[in-house]
Formats: sequence, structure tokens, C-alpha cells
Amino acid sequence: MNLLSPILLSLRVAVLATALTLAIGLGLARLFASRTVPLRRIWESLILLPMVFPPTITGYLLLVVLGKRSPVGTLLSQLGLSVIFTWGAAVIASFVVSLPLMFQNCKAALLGVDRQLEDAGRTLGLRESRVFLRITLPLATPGILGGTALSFARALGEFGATLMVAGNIPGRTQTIPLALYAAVEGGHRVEANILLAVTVVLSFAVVAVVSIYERRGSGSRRVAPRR
Amino acid sequence: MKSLAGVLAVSVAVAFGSAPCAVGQQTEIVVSAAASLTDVLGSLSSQAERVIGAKVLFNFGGSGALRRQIEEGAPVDVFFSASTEDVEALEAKGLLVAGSRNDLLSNTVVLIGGPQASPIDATTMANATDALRALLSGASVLAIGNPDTVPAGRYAVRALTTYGLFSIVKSKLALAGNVREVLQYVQNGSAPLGIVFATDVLAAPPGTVRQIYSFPESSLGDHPILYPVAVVSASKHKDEAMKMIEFLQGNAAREAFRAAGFILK
Repeated sequence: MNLLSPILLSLRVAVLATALTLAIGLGLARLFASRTVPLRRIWESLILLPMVFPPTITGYLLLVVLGKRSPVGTLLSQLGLSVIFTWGAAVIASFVVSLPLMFQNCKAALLGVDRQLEDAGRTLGLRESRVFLRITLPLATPGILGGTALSFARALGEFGATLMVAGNIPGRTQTIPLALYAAVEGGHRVEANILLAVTVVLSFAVVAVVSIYERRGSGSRRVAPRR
Repeated sequence: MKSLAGVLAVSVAVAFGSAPCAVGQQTEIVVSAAASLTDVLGSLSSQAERVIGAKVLFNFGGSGALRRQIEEGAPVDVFFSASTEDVEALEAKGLLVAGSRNDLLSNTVVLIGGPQASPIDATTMANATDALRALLSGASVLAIGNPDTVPAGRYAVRALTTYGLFSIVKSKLALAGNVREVLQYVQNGSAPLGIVFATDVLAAPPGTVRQIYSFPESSLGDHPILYPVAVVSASKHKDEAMKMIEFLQGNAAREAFRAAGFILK
């Protein structure tokens, strides 16, 4: 059993999925936090569904949506793209299951920012985009970071949905959780323990990075008003 | 924020940098195979690639999940299932190449216990039934796979019913999510007895479990344990897929299957 390939693959999938959830989750959170979206509750429930579903069900739905028989799958195959059984499918699976965590954290963080500070910026002539970038975003950073850490952890541990859409192909789509499962199933204790250790180290690393940035974030918040 | 963006940019770069560069235009076939075949097929993969002249990618999973993937048009060339039901469902939908199916392997269900357990040495079913009844009545727990989802659990219930012993164990079953969990329960002493496939016993570390009794095929009624293999209709590499099935019937593969405890059909 090659152990390096699942580790590298898992890192690649988790990093890309987290970058994607950060961009889209933060965007959606800003949309829902800043204006009244029609049918807001329905949209939010849809985003949160993957948290309620068992991952296998999410995976099955993704398989149906991306599969050759669906409109999306037909469009993809006309473009010459086949997503099922690629590591791209693993990124999509991780993205979908971690989006709810990112969205909820970002939304809470944005709503938690003091409106008066934003208004103060506006009275001083800042455009809306600048208000968001210079005032709202820095103040919301700790919450956004928390969401990012949770999303990364969730993406790194993704199993059920990945198994359905990316398959469990050693050397191609077998991520750490899939390889770990195969190692335990096959009674390969040494490999299983190594993968377990790698997962623990990665988790500690994520927590460490986040807490460093959180400390810096709270530091800059104290300095901010003086600027 | 700037440094955070920097960290993100670097990590994305690392992620893309480690992406595998596209391999040449070598033909690849995907073989979706039951999880219980993981080790034995893994050991045959490089040999198979040499013989059929194409890269062989194995996709391991539960037979039911693998069937769903094929139904949704996943790019699979060969389906090697641990259950006839899933193969028959695909055949009924025309998703497997007619005539390509081969019921390659069989397996047996066995009663196992800890290292101190003593095997039942019975020549007739009546003798075996008495010994099994005594053993099962005295045991606190019997671990089997959940019969709703785990094939080995289904076979266990069938065999026990045939022997008229299911009523004895009904109230003391520990239902596991898959057959290897049953093995774990018996290995670490959580359950004194369990029912698994003969191939699972061989996969356990030596000296941790002992086979007590092997249920004969006749005890399973009309549903013998079979591992059918077939070519998927949507395959773009049917020649290589056929060659793969031929390879799986060949001597090298048969030797590996036998060593892993499978029964060759």
C-alpha cells in the first residue's frame, strides 16, 4: 500500500475544497447578511442540507446530478468532461459537505460586526466595497477563520460522499479516510496507524495555524480605531 | 489579512503543484470490485496490466454502491461483484454486456471463536446441529453482519435457519456494519462467537481467531455465495475488459484467489 499518494491527494483535495468554500461561502454569507433575499429560508435550508444528510446520501445525490443521465452530466460530457471517478469529484464532494459550516460561521461573523462602525466609514465617504474590505471583513476575520478551519477539517475527513462520486481508486482517488478504511478492513495495522498519525498531525497543524491568526486578528482589532 | 491571503495562495499553489501531470495516452480500464477482493486484486494488478496491455484501475466498494455508480453512468469497464442480486439488477437494465458474465468465485460462511475455541468435527448435519446448539446456547453473544445490508450477515441468518438454530441466537445477536467488524469483535474478545466468510478468517492476524465450523453450501438454500464478474455495456474498452476477465480466469489469478481462501467455480 502506497501511503504517500493518499496523503498528498487528501491535502490537495482539502486545500482546494477549502479555498472554494471560503470564496463561495463568504460570498453567499455576505449576500444573505447584507440584503433581504427572496425565499431566504429556503435557500439557506438548501445550503445546510448536506449537514443533515448522511454523507452517503449527499454522495448519491451528487452522483445522480453529475452522472451521465442528468442534464448537468450530459452538458459536461458534451464538453468532453467526465467528473465521476476523478479527484475533481472528491473536491466537489468535500466542497458540498463543508459549505454549510463555512456559510454559517461567516454569516454569524458578518452579522456580529457593529453596524455603527460600518456607518461611520460610510459617513467618511467610503464606498460599499471599501466598507466591506476595510471594516467588516477585518472585524469578522476570527469567525471566518473558525469557519475555514472547520471546513478544512470536514474536507480532510470526508468519506461517504467521496466514496460515491470519486470512487475508491488506489493511487487516483483514494484519499486518507478511504485508505484508512481500506487498511483497517484489510487488517493492515501498520498502514492504518501511520495514516491515523498523519491525520492527527494535520489536525493539530490546522488548529495551530488558526489560533495564531486568531491572536493576530484580535490584536489588529484593538489597533484598528486608531488608524 | 494580507498574510492570510498569502498563506492561501501558497497552499493553493502547493496543491496544484503536486497534481499529477497527465499520463500519456495509455489505455486505462476501471474495474469496480467488491471490497472483500481488495487485497487479492491489489496483488494481481501489475500482472494484469502486463497481460492485457492496459493500465488497470481498481475501484473498491460495497457491491450495492458500485452498482449505483454504474447505473448513473460512471466510467466503469468491468464489474466484479460480491452479490448476484446487484449483477442481475444491472443485467435486467441492459447495463452489462450479455454473455460476458462469469460466476468466478464462491466463498463459505464459517463460525469463528477466539484462539481457545475448538473446532466442531462432525460428519453429518445432525451431529453438527447438536454440537452447534450446545455451543450457541452457552454463548452470551453471537456477532454477525447486519442482514439488511451485509451479505455475510444474510448468509449467516440463512444457514442458522436451515439448521433450526436461529431461534436460539435471535435474542443475542450483535449486528455489525460490515463483515470485518464481526471479525474485530471476535478478535478483541468483545464477542465469543461470530459468523464471517472463510476468506476473512485468513485475513485476520494468525492466532487471533479460530474457525469452529464451516457451513456447507447446501445450508444456504437457493442462494449460493457467488462473485460474478461482467463487462459493463458503456465500456469504451471492451476488448481490454474481456481480456481482464480472461486474466481473472487464468492460472495466476486462480492461484491467488485460492490462497486467499476463495472457492473457484
